[in-house]
Amino acid sequence: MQTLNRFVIFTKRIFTKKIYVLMLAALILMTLVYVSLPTKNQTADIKVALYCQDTSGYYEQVLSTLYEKNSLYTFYEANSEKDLIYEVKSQKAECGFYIPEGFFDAYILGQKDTQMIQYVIPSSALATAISETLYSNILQVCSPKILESAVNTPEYNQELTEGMDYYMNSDEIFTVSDVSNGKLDTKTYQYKINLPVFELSVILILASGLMGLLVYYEDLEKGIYTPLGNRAKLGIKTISVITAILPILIVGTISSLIATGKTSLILLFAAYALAIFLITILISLVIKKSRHLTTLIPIILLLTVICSFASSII
Amino acid sequence: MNLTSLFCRLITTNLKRLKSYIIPLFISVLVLLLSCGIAGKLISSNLYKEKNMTKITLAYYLPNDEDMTYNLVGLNFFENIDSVQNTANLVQVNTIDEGKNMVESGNADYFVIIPELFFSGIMNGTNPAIEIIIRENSSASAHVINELFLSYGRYLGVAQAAVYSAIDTARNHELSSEEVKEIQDKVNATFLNRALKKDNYTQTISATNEGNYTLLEHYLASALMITLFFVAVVFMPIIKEYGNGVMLQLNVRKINTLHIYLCNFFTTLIALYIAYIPCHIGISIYTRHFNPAGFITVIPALCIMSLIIALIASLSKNLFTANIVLLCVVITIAYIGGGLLPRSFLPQIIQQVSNYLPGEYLISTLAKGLF
Repeated sequence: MQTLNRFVIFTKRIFTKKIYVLMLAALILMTLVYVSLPTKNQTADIKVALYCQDTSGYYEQVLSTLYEKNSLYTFYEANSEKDLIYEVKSQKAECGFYIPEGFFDAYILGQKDTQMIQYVIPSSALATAISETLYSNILQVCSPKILESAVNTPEYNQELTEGMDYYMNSDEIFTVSDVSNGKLDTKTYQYKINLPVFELSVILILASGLMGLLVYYEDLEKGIYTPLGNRAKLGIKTISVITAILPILIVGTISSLIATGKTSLILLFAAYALAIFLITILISLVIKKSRHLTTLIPIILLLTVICSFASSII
Repeated sequence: MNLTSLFCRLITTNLKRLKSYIIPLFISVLVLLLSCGIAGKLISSNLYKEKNMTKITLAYYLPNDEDMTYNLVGLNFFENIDSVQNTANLVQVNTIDEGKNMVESGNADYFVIIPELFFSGIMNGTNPAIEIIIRENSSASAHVINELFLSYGRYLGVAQAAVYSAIDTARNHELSSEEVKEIQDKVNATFLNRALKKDNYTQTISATNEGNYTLLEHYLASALMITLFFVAVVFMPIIKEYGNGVMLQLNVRKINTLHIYLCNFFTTLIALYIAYIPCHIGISIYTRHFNPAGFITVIPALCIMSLIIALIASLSKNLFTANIVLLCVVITIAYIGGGLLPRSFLPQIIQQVSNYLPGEYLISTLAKGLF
């Protein structure tokens, strides 16, 4: 009966802490935001970003040949070089090509001073293969002028260009037929922006456990538990931590169930709550003053946030 | 005692109190910088994981005929093309049946049969067909190889068209056979250069850099920012807990909240600068790059951080609230400023908000000071 009374009192006390109520509100708000986020459609095709500053007119022809052919890759234009880099960095595009002013003229003449830049990231496994597709189209578009430059006799230019055009449209040159079975079926899939509801819930459970311990220490330093023995104090400390953990545990579990739909999370949450309770009691064996705990709580939480973030990336 | 001297005395008193927090300050700097730095290093190494693409096994048969020399030259070119090296394992077979068996048994995905006198045929325009036997033709890998074949075929076709056009034009103008040969060789060499020497015309740049800094440098600067913000919890009692008696005395002498805020600001600034010095030295040792100008260029960033910390301390009701608010504010600034994930990974709306918050500026200023 005494334990139950203490349980109720400590639960009421923890709810008087504005920070605690804010933590609960943040969790509920994040869940509501997650539920209201629309699902988006995204195709799983291989996108390649392009941005061109060359004004010679060849770029438009290259784009036109790229769009005409039934390529595996989806070439699209970025608004600027900076946007192009962003697209690659954010992995929306497999890689990106920036074509500076004067590139096509330099390529035709075989000059190396004006280079195209290919932006890649370590996960761009197809960057070299994509480069072949782009370059073969560039070569095709620039080939008449490259031929004129190679022969270097201006009075032959028209004949060379006409001859080039004739052979490119004839059966007399080497060609490769499409050996694949139609266009690759790039599935369209739906996705939602993932909010870290589960991770936040666990961090807040840890925070609430430490807050419960802090409440106990503050009472202890005020002399409220002076008449009590060590066993009774341990019991009160335990109740203080449990009553702080329970409400956030319940709200966190429900929020994560709504966000992910996985019922296995209930057991996972129970395990985490137990582990956090034990960690809090262990901390209480080392830290005996509220002042020290007040300093340590944000550092413990920061390190937990960073570790969970790093482990999600790794 | 006038207001100015009292204000200065308040600052010096705080600084004297700060002396007793120096050792805990350095210990917390060590712990935080190590933890955040290790996390930053791990994140920067793993953020853009290298994709291991399963290579296609491409078997090929070369006939032992008069064109063998050309076949071997062509094969050498083919093997050294980057796109082939990245996407295919080449396996030569001795007989056509051996190649077909490899495809049927699943040991090869593609089998290319080079016909007799293939190179001669290319040169004289007969263009004998290359037979390609494939195991399956609908997977992503099959499409990638298909794209490569189409590209290489286009190179060859364009080069052929150019050579034929040049030869026809030379003959139409009744040039001698030596002159025709010379033009043919020049056109061959030119188109070979354009097709195979792409490195001359392309520069490959890693897009992982954040601004002018590598990903590792960016994350080290971010770790430093978080560390400096968080050492404030060590000396927060100095700037937060003015006893009621002291407050009464200060109010009587017309020291108000603004003066206390400014006093907190200066105390925090000095404390952060003291904390910055070992961080700068430690990171310089780790990266083997020392920028002495960083001790000056970092001051504006430290001023902004001091403003934020002093504001939180002034507005919070008690020490615990101040520390928790500091935690939430710092995590928010770090996240929105691209300190946890690069900005390009953040939703568009957060990228736009980031322009109005100090996170990105703080990280870039600290990076500039370090590197």
